[in-house]
Amino acid sequence: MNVLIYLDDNLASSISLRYICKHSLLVPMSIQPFHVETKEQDHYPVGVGWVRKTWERTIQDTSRSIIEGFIKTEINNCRGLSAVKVVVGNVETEIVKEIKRGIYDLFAIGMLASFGFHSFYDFLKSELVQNVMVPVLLVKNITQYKNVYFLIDKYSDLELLVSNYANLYKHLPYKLTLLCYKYGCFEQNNNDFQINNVKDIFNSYGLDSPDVVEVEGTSQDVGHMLREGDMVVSLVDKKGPKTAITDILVHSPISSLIFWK
Amino acid sequence: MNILVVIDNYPYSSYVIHEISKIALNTWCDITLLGFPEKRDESFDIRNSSIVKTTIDYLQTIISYYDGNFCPYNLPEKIEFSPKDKNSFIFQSKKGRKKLKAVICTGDYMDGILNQVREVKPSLLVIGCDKNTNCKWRGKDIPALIANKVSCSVLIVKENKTPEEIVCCLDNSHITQESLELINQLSTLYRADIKIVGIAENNTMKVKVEKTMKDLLMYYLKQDISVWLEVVDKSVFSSFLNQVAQKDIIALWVGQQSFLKKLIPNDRINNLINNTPSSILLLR
Repeated sequence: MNVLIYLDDNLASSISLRYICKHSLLVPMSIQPFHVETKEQDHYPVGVGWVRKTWERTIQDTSRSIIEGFIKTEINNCRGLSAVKVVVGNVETEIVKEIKRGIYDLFAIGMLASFGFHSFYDFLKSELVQNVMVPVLLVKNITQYKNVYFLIDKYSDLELLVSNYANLYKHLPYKLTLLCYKYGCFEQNNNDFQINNVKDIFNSYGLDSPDVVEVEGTSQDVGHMLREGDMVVSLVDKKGPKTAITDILVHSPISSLIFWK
Repeated sequence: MNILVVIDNYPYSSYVIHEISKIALNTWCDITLLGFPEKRDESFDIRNSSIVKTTIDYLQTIISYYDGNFCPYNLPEKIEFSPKDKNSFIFQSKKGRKKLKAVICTGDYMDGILNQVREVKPSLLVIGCDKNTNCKWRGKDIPALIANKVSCSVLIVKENKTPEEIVCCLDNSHITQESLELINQLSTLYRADIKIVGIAENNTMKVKVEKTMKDLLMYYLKQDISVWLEVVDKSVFSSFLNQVAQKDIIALWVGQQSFLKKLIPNDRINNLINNTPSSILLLR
């Protein structure tokens, strides 16, 4: 798995780096740290051509040494970690450009859990999310639990979710739990979602059979229930309206692995 | 650690003593019990007072937690209080590795507590109250008033179901090792998770707050303790507090440098103390 991880010299990046490096010990992956030094008007030289390029190179070199120092102080055992790549420009635009090179299977970024909906929904509306199809791992916290939750509702395409997950994390030796939000996922008349099929779907992609739990309550309650997990995996329609699933992801304190519908 | 526990004859004080006994078991702290009788006038008789009996019971409760193991406190068979000044009586255990003493105060609540705080210089003052009576002592906001007046950390204990989290709200105050140990003790006591909350302004955290959060994260990771991190914007901090106060313990740093203190003025802290069902820890 090729992972692009966005890093800054901050707490969110510290968590995301530690988190992905923890996974790198369990799942084969190559990790490309990426940093964008923003063009701030005040500090950006008026100039073109050689002058501008030289100035950008200086900024890149300075930023590179800062991020390299940050990585060294954060982590001493991270398999598959490459040298940091630094560019100058707008953060979202440059990340989109890098992802569109097409060599990455996963984009990871730190986002501290926050009280309130704004940061997560702002992220969903962002240029970055709207322009890429690569799955995104939002790292919120580092936990010691070894559970992965698959969060679905009765409209979710379970097979798509499971196949996407298996592409990335088939070898992650964590316990799997399928959480169906609000009842109705496994109704007898819903042929796509019969509970007996769940085991077959997971097994057919080389994954262990999950525990299956139907959950209900407010999105906050369900988010709180995810506390004993390492990450929650879900399918999100980035062009669609807010859903119960996205609201639960907002309230989840654990990291979210998001695949796009 | 040096703990001053304010007690009376109501059931919440008994609950407090059991909680403090568990902390004492881990920390071997010095403990002072400060008891207030129901009637605090000239008719008070130390020999027939129910608060004296209760206080002796509570001293024995603390000892009982050691159940045959080595106990750092020593209680004589006969516990006798002697006059200390015109408004108080004292019992002090002479032996023992750690101090265990009790004071019965027949004067005003506030004066009595403030005098003991000056004398004992506790690192933590603990007072219980009943969430069903809005945390009042005989109709007065004693716990809230005390929490605002003293310069040490204060734990206001309410009987409630076990909290899931100790929610520690960080600002730019200096985080002392002692306050961290207090949080760790509460976390151990209730088997509750620790959540570190950074306050942000317009979704941006001050560098110092973020650095403190990171330092704390590293501190806990080194000890293999999981902590949750969360950011709360100033604009929604009140709603956040109201929400967590329903089930978790809130720990607030309210030192002089604290911007939490500005964010949550005294009347708001009083409101939190009086009207929330959960225990509150004010750290200084």
